[in-house]
Amino acid sequence: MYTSLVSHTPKINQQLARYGVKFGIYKNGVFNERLFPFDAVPRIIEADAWDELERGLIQRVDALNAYLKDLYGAKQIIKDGVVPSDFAFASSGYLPQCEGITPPRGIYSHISGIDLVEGQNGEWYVLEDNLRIPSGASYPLVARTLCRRCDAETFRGGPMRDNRDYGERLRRVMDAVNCGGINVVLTPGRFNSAYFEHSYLAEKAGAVLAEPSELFVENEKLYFRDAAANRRVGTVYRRLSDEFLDPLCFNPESLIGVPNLMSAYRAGNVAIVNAPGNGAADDKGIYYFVPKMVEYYLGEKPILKNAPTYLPFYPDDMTYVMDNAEKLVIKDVAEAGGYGVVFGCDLEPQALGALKDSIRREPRRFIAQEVIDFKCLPTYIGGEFVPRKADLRAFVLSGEHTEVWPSGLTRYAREAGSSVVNSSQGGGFKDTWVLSR
Amino acid sequence: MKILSFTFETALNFSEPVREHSFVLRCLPKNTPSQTVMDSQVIIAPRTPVANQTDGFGNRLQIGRIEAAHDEFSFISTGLVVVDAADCDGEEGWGATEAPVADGSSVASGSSAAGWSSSMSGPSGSLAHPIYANPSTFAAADAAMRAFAQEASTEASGPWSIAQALSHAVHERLAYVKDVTDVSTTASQAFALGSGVCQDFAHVLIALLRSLGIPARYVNGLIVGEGATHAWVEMHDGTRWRGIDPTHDRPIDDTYIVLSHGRDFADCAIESGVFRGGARQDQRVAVQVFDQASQQ
Repeated sequence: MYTSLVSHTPKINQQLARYGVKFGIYKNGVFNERLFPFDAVPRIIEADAWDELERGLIQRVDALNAYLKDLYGAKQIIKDGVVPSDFAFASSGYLPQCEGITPPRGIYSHISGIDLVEGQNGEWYVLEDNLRIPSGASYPLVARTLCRRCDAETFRGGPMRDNRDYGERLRRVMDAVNCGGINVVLTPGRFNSAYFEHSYLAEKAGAVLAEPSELFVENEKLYFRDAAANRRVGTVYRRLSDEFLDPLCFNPESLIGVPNLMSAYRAGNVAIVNAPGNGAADDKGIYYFVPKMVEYYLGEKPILKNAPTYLPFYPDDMTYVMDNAEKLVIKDVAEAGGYGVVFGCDLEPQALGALKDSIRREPRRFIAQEVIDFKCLPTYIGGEFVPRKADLRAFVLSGEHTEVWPSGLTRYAREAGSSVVNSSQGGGFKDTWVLSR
Repeated sequence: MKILSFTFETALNFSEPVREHSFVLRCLPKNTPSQTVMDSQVIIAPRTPVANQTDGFGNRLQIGRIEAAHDEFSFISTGLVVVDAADCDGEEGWGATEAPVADGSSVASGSSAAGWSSSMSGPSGSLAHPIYANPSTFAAADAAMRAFAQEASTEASGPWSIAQALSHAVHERLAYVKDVTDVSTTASQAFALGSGVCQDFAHVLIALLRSLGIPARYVNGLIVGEGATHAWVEMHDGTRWRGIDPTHDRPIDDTYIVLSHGRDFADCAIESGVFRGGARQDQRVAVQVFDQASQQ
């Protein structure tokens, strides 16, 4: 199905470089930009498997949105003891500044990036929920466009669902929560490593691409400074993180925020996509509770599984973690990204003992997970097809209703046998084909 | 119980004109279980429309933007507040919203808990929000402070008694000295320095209380007999918030008016602004609080 496509790999990568499809990483305090290598062998998801995955993702994101609304409002799930307050409010992503604010339509996570892996048993496991402006949709989007251009034959009448409507879907989400005015994509600027994605998505969604200095707030309304007139903004899809959003509400040192943006948001005059404060629902400690949220808010059995996770906070889990630390992956809840993640099997006995002591001392700070052995995908490296571990970031959009983009970002590990698919570790990406039949 | 009237004036002078000046003020008192705002208003110059909002901590906000160039910015808030520090039984659980205060004007005084809409009513309604038990940017204890808190509280039993012991210890440990610290000084820096102003006294006491597991928060306000704004501490004793002033080493009484509170200074600044123009600024503040009864 993809044999002829693979021969175009170098050409597609050249085009990606020309477009500026890059990502930025910090290493030893130095910021670098790198190309993100594309592998033309797609991840293929059969129609039936997709249907199941789609239902599970919608369910999960609906529950996460319900949790955020509850957390910043009535706090019923905490009162009922389903999520302990120690976890709910200790998260650094919880922003008390957002207490009592209900966003338009009650939606907090408009664009959710759910990271999954497919186990050897064929079951999908969620590894992480990303509810704070997850990035990466533009990679498969632009890759698909280039693939079609290089090899139209493969796609003409092929069984893969078209994924080029992401911009249209994004626009529908922005329209659904719009409080009156234009849609804007707010970028920190052209020197940001994701600037390509910001401009590409703005164009595809028919939104205005704005830098912070082009926006201002007056009388509780957000405006875009146009050469002709000031235009009211009804939805801002901001690609800068919460702390930099509004120097008069969050980090006062922020030079890239929009002063008093939060006043327009509080007054219900602008939708912020995604809502500030979402970090309270996507941190490592809260992850454990997401299946419970599905049951609590929706009264349904969770369709998607978490990787089996233990909270040493609970005595039974503590016992299990102490007895099995050498085969578990231990994560420090306070650390972000890939930091603070330790595989028990990689540690010398002494280091493992020290880690166990830390866990006993501060049980709330850690979670432990079973290591999931996930599937490899064929990957074309050095002129041959070799197996590489790969994950999937699915994009779930919540507006009028919640839907899943029939595609996604598949990332693969560079080295054979490695489970590290992070782009910062030199991995690459693939297109994701969802079959329609 | 006292009826206090106040006038609080702040003027910022810029060395050269600034423009596109966005600001947030927390210069009007709010209703609390021990404080009822009878009347309050603010006058801002240059004149500009002001939006009244409430932040996530329940503080009243006055928000605006001045587009045109200006070299002075001032606000004068005035009002009348009934204070009864002994009457703290009103429920104020976490997630609670403060009783609303009508925009810049008078409110019905309302009796006790009637006006309190608490979304955390029920058994846990009287608990402090868990964020006040966690360290925050400006009020986190280091090892030296944790040891100090342990030692200073050995004789005390119960949260309130511990708070009084710690307040006394902070008062002994820190010297009140102006201009040795600034708004970016943390509790541990002030503690190591051994001096500071009311903001530093408050941050240090908050950090010490939290290190012993007692929820504590920062309070900005006005007091009788002081010409500037003041900062103190509220600690939660398990059922309610109680105010204590480490700068004067005393529990708060009916001479204190609460303007705003938060985890620390950063959450509840009385005045903050962002503008264009590289001007230096200096600030003049004048505060007068009168006990109405003693006037008569």
